[in-house]
Amino acid sequence: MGSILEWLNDVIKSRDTLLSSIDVKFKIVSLIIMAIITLVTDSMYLLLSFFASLIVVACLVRELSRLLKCLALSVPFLLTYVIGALIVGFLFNGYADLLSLVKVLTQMAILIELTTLLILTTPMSKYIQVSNSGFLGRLVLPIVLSLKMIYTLANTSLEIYGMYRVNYGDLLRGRRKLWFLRKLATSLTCNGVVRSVELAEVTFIKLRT
Amino acid sequence: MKSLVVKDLRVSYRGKYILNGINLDVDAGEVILVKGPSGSGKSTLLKSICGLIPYLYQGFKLEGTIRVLGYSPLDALRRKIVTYVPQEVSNYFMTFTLNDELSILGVNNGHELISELGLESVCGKTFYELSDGERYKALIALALLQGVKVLLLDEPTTHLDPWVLTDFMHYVRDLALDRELTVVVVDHRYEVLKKYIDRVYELSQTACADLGEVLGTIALVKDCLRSDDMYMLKIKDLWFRYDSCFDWLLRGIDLIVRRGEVISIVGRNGVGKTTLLKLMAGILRPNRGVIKRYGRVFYIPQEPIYWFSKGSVRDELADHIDIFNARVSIDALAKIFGISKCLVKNPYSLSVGEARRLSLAISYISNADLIIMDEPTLGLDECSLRVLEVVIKKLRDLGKSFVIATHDLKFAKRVSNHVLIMEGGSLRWLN
Repeated sequence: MGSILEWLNDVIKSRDTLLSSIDVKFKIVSLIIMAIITLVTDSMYLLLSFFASLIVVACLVRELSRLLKCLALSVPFLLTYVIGALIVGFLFNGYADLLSLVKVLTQMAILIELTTLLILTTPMSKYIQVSNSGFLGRLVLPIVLSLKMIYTLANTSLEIYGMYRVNYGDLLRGRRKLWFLRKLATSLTCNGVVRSVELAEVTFIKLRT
Repeated sequence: MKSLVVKDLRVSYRGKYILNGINLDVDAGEVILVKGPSGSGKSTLLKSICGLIPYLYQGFKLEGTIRVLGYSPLDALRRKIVTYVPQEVSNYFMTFTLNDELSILGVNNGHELISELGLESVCGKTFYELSDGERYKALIALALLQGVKVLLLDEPTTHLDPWVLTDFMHYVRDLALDRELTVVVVDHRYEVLKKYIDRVYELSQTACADLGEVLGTIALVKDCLRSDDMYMLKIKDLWFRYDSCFDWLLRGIDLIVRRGEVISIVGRNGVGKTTLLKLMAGILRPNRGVIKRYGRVFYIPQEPIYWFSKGSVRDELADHIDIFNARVSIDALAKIFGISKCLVKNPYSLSVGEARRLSLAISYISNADLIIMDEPTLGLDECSLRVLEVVIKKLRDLGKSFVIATHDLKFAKRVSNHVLIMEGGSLRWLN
């Protein structure tokens, strides 16, 4: 799990994105918080969620004006995912531990919210850097890109969920329900990041003028 | 002046060299092929030439010289001299339709080229409705309409069906001559492309696995098969369309897959192969007709990265061995599927070929009775292809069944009991 965190961090930081402006102090503070959470919760997935939230908060503080737009756009997407997560949760009845279910769903929601923000932020920040097409262009293209990304991620998520249901569906007994949900949540998050990087690539190639 | 000059190029990430001492000289109007095993840095080379590395991917260190018509990669990109057409085409559009994409890029005079590439009928459709081949052609049309002089194509053969590929490569060849367009193609399939290229550049050679040894290592990961049925899948009069306002995509398909049988489905881009596989797997539901599955089904999608949720290849394999209760060691698996060198890598940093081999290893661990594979050869080099062939044949002999959708007709013929061609929503035997 630690190396998935490292990978996510690498992907975000090594690209020429808005999020790469996070400073060292923030990293140290987040590491301390991560260590405390690890000791208290013993859940690496929860850790990932908190880390993700911290990045988002840092971005909001540092780049508030740009990110407000992203946040506004991500709210309906987040709601869709929370509802989706609830449906996924209720598909697997017989949770002995309701707390586990709530925890997993919360984690999924936070992770997906982060992904949304990353996705919306990356192409927007690229566009803001490269744009010289005036106010309308600055306003319209980010929205088009954001909608495009939401649509893409929704499609990808459906594909992934369909595949997981076929391949792991008959394994979902007892503790394996949690395994399924966690694997699904992590896979959705990572694929979301990959998609955002792909869109950053195409934005870079097509719009760097 | 040379169109493209690469001199002593070295690209590293975290101190590890991905490319080491690459030299290339390409003239205007030349089509060259860069080949090499998966993971040898072919895509990295193209991304460096177009400036994605290190300007977007900032963790990479680039040494040496790259000049595109005398300009640095970033200058060449700014002047729209060079463009890169990537391997994974599904997400490489900024908007929803080809018409929108042309508008947003300010291209107004594209009708002739669009018509030449046979894309008029798809201009208004969303990119999600297009097949990979159509998307790939749309990407190339957009590049040409922006007036590029150096075209970088990453694995074009994997996305185009054999029928379209021939026309397409002829077209690329003619474009190179007529417009003095320089084309750098990265691909594994030298045999398919050799008549369209001027020169070949090989990045590195790899030692192929000992196939005899691979064959000896493969065994069932559990003692017995789950199902004793003779049939694995029966499809009767299957009809399917995505929406009632569209035409039927699949029209009355009948198919039986028996135990120990490998069936390959070939066909043009967009004909409905992937849709049929998804119906077989149970991801989609038919509008009409019956699909009966006997035993457990495992579906391997075109996008290998959908699987992964662990921090390393080793952890990913261990997780699946645990969850499927399989009796196989990680090292033996890695040896069979040629991923021994990747065990410590993050699955998301693997090349397409490596990720595909990992996904094949996971399907092997699953011990499913019927394995459904969508384009399993995509991104695989010659050695990996041979290993895949051996693995499928051995598992077939052990009673597993496979349904494979592929563009690689030769592979389909070598590995299958039956090859079916999909046309007009129906299946027929390929003579």
